[in-house]
Amino acid sequence: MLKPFQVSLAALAVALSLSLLYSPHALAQAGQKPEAAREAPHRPGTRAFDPHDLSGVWEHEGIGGTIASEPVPPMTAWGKAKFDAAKPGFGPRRVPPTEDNDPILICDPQGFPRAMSLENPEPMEFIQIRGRILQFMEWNRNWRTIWIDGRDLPKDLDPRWYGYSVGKWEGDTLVVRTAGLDDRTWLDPYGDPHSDALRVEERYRRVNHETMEFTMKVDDPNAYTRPWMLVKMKVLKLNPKYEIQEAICAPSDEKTFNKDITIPADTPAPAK
Amino acid sequence: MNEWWLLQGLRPDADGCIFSLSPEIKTEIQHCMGPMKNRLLLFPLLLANLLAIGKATFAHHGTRAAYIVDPSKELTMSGTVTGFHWGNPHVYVFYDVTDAKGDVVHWGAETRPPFVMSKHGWSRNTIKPGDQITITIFPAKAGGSYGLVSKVSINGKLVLDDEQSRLQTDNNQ
Repeated sequence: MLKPFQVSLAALAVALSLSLLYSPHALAQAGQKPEAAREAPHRPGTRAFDPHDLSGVWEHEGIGGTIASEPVPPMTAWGKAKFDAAKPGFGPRRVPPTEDNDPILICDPQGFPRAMSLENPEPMEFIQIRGRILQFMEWNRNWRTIWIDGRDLPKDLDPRWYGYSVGKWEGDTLVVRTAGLDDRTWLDPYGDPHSDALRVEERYRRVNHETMEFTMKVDDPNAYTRPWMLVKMKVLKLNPKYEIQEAICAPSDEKTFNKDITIPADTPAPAK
Repeated sequence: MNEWWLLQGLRPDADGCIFSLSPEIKTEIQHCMGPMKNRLLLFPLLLANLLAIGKATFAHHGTRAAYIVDPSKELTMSGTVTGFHWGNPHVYVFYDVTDAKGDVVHWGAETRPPFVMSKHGWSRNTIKPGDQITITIFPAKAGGSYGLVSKVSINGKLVLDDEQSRLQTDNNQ
């Protein structure tokens, strides 16, 4: 015959076991992250959020090595010449690394809009403060500023790697316009070119607490015969637990790597 | 699902366990799993691996342009590590293999950047000169003794199986 306190102990043990098995936070406890364990459980899409606050670490969902862009529209003669001069390491025109002239291989900045293209699977951290949003990209430890204090794009901008960006809320969609871009950057790893007349429009819409939709349109009449969607749709997922890692292109690292691996791996083996 | 902190209790150097997509490694994880709490970690661990590692798609140079990313062309060999470079843009290893004629051939093989390899449980101490290495590579197109890492075992223990991820992602680029 079990005494009452033994029954209670047994019941408690069973309850604890069940909670460990079935609570999603058992994993957090097993991972020894008490702050995660304290979070209230919720179903995806049900947690309250401010649609006008994009802060957080965002990961890209569904990246599988392809870029979901619109087909590239016909280029102008100027655009075509620039495209032909680009020797990419990816896509149908790929060349071996020693012939590849992708500017990022000499650690030139990826620049904008390429840093926000679908090429980078690495997470980004957005920090929204009064009048601006700061975007920190894990890849190459880049950052950019989006001014959301009502200012317009300045006129006659000098070209910069990341241009100049202003954003405005249209309902719950943040519409960001960027100009003043340096034409040395490529739009993507395939060598699609642009001029310094490029204008970019990004749209960010937080559809629930953990999901944001992102699109990006490029308009460059010097290079293309019509505007096109460089990113048709990218879904970003909030991951509050992720810590941005360090992924830097350092010229000295690149030099060592090229000497040790890229060049010898690309050199035909001597005949035996 | 990319909660890498879930993996902290299962670092290969601490527990002799690693995670991977390959069936043999899943078995190895189960062998490693002792306490119940670790068993609870197994599913999210594999899920995280499925969803996250495969996302590391674009190397900054085109791997498919330099290497033959084809499972029928893979080479597997064993030898002794002579060097290990933990750094950007890519982690790489050098090793010596004695060929059928008794000649020592110096090989080099690259893998992903350190911040990605750390998600595979690697650190700067994962490979050391003098270690015995069994490695499977996708060979360089140019035909020399270089390759892109597919699988690596160090001193008899599998520390990376990147084959499926390479086949799935690199061939789409």
